[in-house]
Amino acid sequence: MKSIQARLLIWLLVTFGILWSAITYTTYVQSTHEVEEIFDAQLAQAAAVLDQISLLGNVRNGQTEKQLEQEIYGHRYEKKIAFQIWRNGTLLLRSANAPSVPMAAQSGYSDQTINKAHWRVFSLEDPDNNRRIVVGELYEVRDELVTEITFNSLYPLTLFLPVLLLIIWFGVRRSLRPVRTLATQVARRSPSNLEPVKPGFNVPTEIQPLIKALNSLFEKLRIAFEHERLFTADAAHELRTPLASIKTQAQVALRATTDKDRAHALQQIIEGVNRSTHLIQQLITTARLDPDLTEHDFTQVNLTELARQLLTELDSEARQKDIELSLVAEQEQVIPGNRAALEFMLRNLLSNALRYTPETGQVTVKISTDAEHIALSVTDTGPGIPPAERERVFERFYRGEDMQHIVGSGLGLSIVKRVVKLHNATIHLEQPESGIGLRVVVRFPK
Amino acid sequence: MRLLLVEDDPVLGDGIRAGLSQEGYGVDWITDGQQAANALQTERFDLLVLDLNLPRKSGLEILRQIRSQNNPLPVLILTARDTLSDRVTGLDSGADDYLTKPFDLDELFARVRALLRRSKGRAEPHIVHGELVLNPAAHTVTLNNEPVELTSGEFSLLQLLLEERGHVISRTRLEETLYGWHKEIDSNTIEVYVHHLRKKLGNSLIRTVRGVGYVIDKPAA
Repeated sequence: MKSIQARLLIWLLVTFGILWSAITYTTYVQSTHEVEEIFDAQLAQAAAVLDQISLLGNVRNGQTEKQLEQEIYGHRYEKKIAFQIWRNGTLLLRSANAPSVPMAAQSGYSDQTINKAHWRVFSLEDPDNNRRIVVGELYEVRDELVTEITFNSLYPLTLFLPVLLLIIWFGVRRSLRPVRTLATQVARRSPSNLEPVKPGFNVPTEIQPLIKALNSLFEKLRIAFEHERLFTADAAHELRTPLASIKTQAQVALRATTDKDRAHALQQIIEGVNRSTHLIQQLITTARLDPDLTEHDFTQVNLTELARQLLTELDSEARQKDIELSLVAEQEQVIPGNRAALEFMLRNLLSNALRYTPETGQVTVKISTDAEHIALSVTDTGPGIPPAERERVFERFYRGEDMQHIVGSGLGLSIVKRVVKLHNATIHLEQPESGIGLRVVVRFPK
Repeated sequence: MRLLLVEDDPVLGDGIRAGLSQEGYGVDWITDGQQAANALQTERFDLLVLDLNLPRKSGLEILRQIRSQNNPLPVLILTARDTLSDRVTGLDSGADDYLTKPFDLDELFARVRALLRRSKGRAEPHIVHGELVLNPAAHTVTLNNEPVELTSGEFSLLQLLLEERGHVISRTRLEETLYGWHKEIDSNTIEVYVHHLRKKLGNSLIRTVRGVGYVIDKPAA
């Protein structure tokens, strides 16, 4: 059953049916009881009246059994009422439909089956006059009456049923109108319209959660779209310079008059393509990292193990420059975090360190703790960064001075900063005690 | 003509320098904003090609600084920022022209020529000196309507002397104009060029001022 409207209708109809049956049943029981009482009383009264009449009339005057043969019935029910008048065991008088044997043996009320018909019988003893009056009535009279009363009481209710159905149908439709209005509003939206839904009517409490959920989804979508838009704009913007460099070098190569100049320009084109590739890679990483990360995705990450893994990976790169890579960690440190993001962060810090450290230098990862923090530091023996520049390195696309010969997009550290922020950690750059190189320290809250 | 190129992208900077050198300009290339600002204080250039996003000192800062010193140096901004407001800000900060990346080298050259021409107070694209006509765009020289074959070094030297007619230009400046810094050139290169020019265009055109440099005199009115 998919439609709420149909469901409501069915439920209302079932309720109505149960109600209808209950009314029928109680009416039947009640009227049976009432009819019984009234008819029994009438039987008793009829017997008493017959007794008196038989004393007054010629029956008293020694008339023997007489049967009322004439069939003059005044009412359709008359046939269904019978009587007998007895004196000292002799039948004085009986109605045409009454048998000539006593209809009841004992006095008072009783139910009798005479000729396969059910009778309600009242027998009145009059010992003063040696008389016995028996009055009987067919049960079907009562049954008919009860049935009629019951049906009559249901009649208006049944007549009202179609009207009731119509009213219910309209009521349900009307109550569900906000749902349809909402659906229309959402359906009419253009993909670019991600503003919250404002229904513009009194929202029923039942739909409010739905609207809230919709609006929260719209907001999430809006942020995601906005992020995509910014990313596209960023990417388009940042690719301009590498593209310009490739185009320029290509034109220089075309114009070159010596083989040496041409070879140089072609070499530069390759370099330009390499830089663009690197930039695109970094942009994609940012795009993946930015919107999806929340604290909900956190798991327990073993920092020490992560560092060990990355150092193993970067070992061959370090050996090419004869750089000594080492890890200093007293014990395994586990923090709640996003493993992929943390891995990106540490890999980035390490490859920066390797890139800027001259041959035979050292790069050291240290994991330590104090009362409030778990600190992860990467120390290199490279040229370091002047204090004035230490904040700017985290800006997107910032590249240090005199670092132009080193391949890099300037995106890495800005992503690192995002990861740090996500983990409620802090990052800062400092000069190691040795006075040479750079130390990057990330402090995670304990 | 001596140009200063400030561009922090190594490949693009290298390409622009190579291209402008092919055109016969002397190009000095700096990748750092602060160093560029310093060079502008101490050296003399005919034109500045400036990127905006630079380490240490932004292109706009450099531009505002030289304009605040009433330096009329022609400035061509070269940048990836291409919104209307970026262009307006650039021009309002004192730039003479604005080129967005990626660009075509030919367009860059044309804009450089136009800026140099205007800065020398010429409205027409050709330099006319008596029967001598120099076309900077086509790199051609005619004398009495006859084309004269010149090497690019000779052409650049002649153009500079013609642009600054009446002013004596020192040998050092001629060398820098033709080659920029950092180039080892033979001490007599300029003399060789002058010698060739005199042979092709006549002895009386370029006058030597002994111990100082060379000059092309303004035509007698």
